[in-house]
Amino acid sequence: MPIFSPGRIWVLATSTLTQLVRMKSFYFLIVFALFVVAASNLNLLYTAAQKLRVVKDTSFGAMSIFSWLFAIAATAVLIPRDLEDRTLYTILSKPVPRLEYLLGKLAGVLLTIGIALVVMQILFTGILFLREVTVLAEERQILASHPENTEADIRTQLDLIRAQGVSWQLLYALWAIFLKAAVVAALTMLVSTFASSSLFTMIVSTIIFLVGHFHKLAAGYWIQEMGDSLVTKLLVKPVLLIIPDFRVFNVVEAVVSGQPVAMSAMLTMTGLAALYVAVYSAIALYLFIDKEF
Amino acid sequence: MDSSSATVPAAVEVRNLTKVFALSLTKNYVVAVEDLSLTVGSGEVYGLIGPNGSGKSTTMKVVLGLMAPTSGTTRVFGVESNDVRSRQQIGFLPENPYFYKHLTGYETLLFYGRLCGLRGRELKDRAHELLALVDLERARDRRLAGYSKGMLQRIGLAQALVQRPRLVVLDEPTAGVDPIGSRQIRDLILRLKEEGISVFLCSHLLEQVQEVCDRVGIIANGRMWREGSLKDLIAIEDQTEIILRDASPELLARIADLVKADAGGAEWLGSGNPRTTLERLFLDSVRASQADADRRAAEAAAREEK
Amino acid sequence: MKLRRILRKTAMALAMLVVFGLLRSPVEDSLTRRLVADKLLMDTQAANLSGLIGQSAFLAVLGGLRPLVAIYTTLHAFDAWSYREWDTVERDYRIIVTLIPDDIDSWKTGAWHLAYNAAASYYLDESLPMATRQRLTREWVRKGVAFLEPGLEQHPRSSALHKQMGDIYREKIEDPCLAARHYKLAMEGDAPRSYMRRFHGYFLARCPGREREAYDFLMALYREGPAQRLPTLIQRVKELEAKLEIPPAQQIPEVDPDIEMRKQFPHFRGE
Ligand SMILES: Nc1ncnc2c1ncn2[C@@H]1O[C@H](COP(=O)(O)OP(=O)(O)O)[C@@H](O)[C@H]1O
Ligand SMILES: [Mg+2]
Repeated sequence: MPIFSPGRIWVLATSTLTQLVRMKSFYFLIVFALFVVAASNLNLLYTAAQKLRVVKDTSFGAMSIFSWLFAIAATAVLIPRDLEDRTLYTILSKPVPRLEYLLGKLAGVLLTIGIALVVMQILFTGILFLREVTVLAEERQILASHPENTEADIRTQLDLIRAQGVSWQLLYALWAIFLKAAVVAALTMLVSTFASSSLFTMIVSTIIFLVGHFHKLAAGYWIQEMGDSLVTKLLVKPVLLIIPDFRVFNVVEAVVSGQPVAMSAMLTMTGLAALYVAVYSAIALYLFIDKEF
Repeated sequence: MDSSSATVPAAVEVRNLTKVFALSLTKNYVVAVEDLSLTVGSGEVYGLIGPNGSGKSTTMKVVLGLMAPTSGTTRVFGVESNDVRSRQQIGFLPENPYFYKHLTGYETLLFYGRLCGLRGRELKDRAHELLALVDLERARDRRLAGYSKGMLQRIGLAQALVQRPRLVVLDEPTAGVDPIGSRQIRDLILRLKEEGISVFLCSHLLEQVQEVCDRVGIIANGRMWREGSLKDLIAIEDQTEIILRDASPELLARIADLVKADAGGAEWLGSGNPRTTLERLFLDSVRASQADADRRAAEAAAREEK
Repeated sequence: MKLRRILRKTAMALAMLVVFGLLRSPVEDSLTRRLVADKLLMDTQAANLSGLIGQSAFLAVLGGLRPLVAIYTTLHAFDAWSYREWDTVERDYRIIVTLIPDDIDSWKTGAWHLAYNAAASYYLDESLPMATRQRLTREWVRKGVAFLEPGLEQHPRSSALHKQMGDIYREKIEDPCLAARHYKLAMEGDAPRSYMRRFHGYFLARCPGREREAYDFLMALYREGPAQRLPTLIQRVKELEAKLEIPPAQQIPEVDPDIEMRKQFPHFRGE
């Protein structure tokens, strides 16, 4: 029997996916589709480029909220539920190392989020594409109706609008959202290995997640005001180190708005996320390995 | 231990197992199992019986590596329980089992089979075979959310057997199951025994243990009180039981007189309605353990007063 | 005994997290700094955003919902606009361009609201004395300019923003020199349109002291061919010929502009 088997992790991951699918968690995709359609019909004072931008911003906003909420909720529910239902006994009494169990559950949550994100991306790209086609046609007509616009004028204007339309770069945003969800899921798994209930896990993980977006900023203010006091040394600095830093993942916003992001920055972000997942899984295993149920 | 078991490792070997649970962060703790030793020979059906809370499940969980012992060792076919490889040989049916409710019976077996490394045709055949064995073929495509208690117990048993383990550990396999279901499970255990699979089961229901087990251990308050083959345990060598029907008080008085008059020194111990002997043994053990626990508590209290 | 183990393990887990934090912090800080420098992340500290928007919106921004807060603020501004609450419109657009400074259209719309809509609304407000109306109108035009200036600083090559500024100077402040300057920047910017060159010439022509320059520029356009020979252009050249006393031999012919236009654009119906 192999000590570490990716095959078993895959079995656990796909079973987790089945579980989440049969918990009807994919119904929200319908809500998402309606939401994007609604956003794509928001007109206000928007210019053509802004109309496309609003579709992107709302879609990626919804995808980002979904992915971290789902990462926390699903991870927080799954392991305690296995425990309460004693399903865990039947799994761990098979030749399944505890590391594989944890990684299998995590992979299952990530697989589910990944599939949902890809489906949302396809839905949203379709809607954005349709919107782009109509907006470009409208704009071309408006521009052409003014005699002073040359063909070159029209082309530069339409290119500006196209820059807000469907592009490969949007996949970077998708990837950044997924990475963030992976870190959040690993964090929640770590919390759930010492927490006493799903609710506790959810609350604690959500708080850590939220704090992880602004603790560096807050600590900056604190240190500016208070200097290097004892509290700073003993409390503020350790908290800064313990709580994850989610700032870099906000790069999604810039990517969505069409600003070019260097490949190297994406790679560094990917490396950081992988490191978070690895370290959190290792600590989760350390806490889980001799846990008794 | 005889010499043969030194070469063929026992299915389960528990040596001086003690398990203590801390109940809270203070000094409050429970000794769930205390200095317990037992051996389940290869191919043997062993029944651990004891009242609720006597430490049966705890013992099993330690054997399965779900819990670490406070002291002592447990081995499965010679492999330490904390080694995940020991689980390759074990099939486990927990107490009141629940499986993933969203899976059908068939999918459940596929899932556990895959965890054991089975794949493809072999796994599918095995799943069908097991569904037939536990008589759930007709319910195979229903989700477990709709299974009755007895059906869950049977799918649990099938799941335990999926990788053809050499040892099956059953925690209260018939608890909460109706008499017919209970009989089905008993028949299955007998079949396993025929196939040479070792079975380690526990129960607080005595009849079943009596019917299927080669050997039993009686556990109470975490300690082993009696252990041995069923025949040996039940037969009390220096006592003889006479069972009469419609005996009049006069007849009993005459027999009592005869006993008194006996030159061999026989002694009249009592009369009354018969009980199954294992039940009697069981109750005696529990009573003795209770007395022992009371005595120890009193001693502890006395020590404290000093 | 069990408590000791739990404490030990918790302490150990926290220690591992701290060590991990020590290792990752420098990488995260430098990546964040780099992304902020590249304008890919918002410098929330420098923007002083917390003073501008509410506490919860600020948290949402930090939490990665910056574009959604911007959309919400746009809706809010739209509402304020329909009620002519100009102070709210101004504040909302300041928030919007702080949140999404890369969105050229927001800079443009904000400036347009202040310099045109708000200014006109005060100008037409008959409940106020005339002097106040004029003062407020000037004030709001100035606000529009002040609003747009940082946008131009951040997007110095934006044709659309320079065109907007040129429009304000042309129509609202009537400063042909500054209008010409911004039209020039617009035509040299990232998305030039052909009319921007003509506009530069038209207003340069009105800028005292730069007539010669304007004449040369407009004549260069004129020589490009019939597409540039629009009535206004010809009219401006004629004005400049007079001012600069260009010898008749070098003057361009007077043409019926409408006839010329109809040749070029069959649908043209005169100005
Ligand atoms: N996880 C646990 N934490 C604390 N006490 C436990 C735990 N599991 C079992 N116990 C205690 O250990 C004793 C033995 O329990 P158990 O092995 O479940 O008994 P049985 O299976 O024989 O009914 C009981 O007193 C029970 O309360
Ligand atoms: Mg039990």
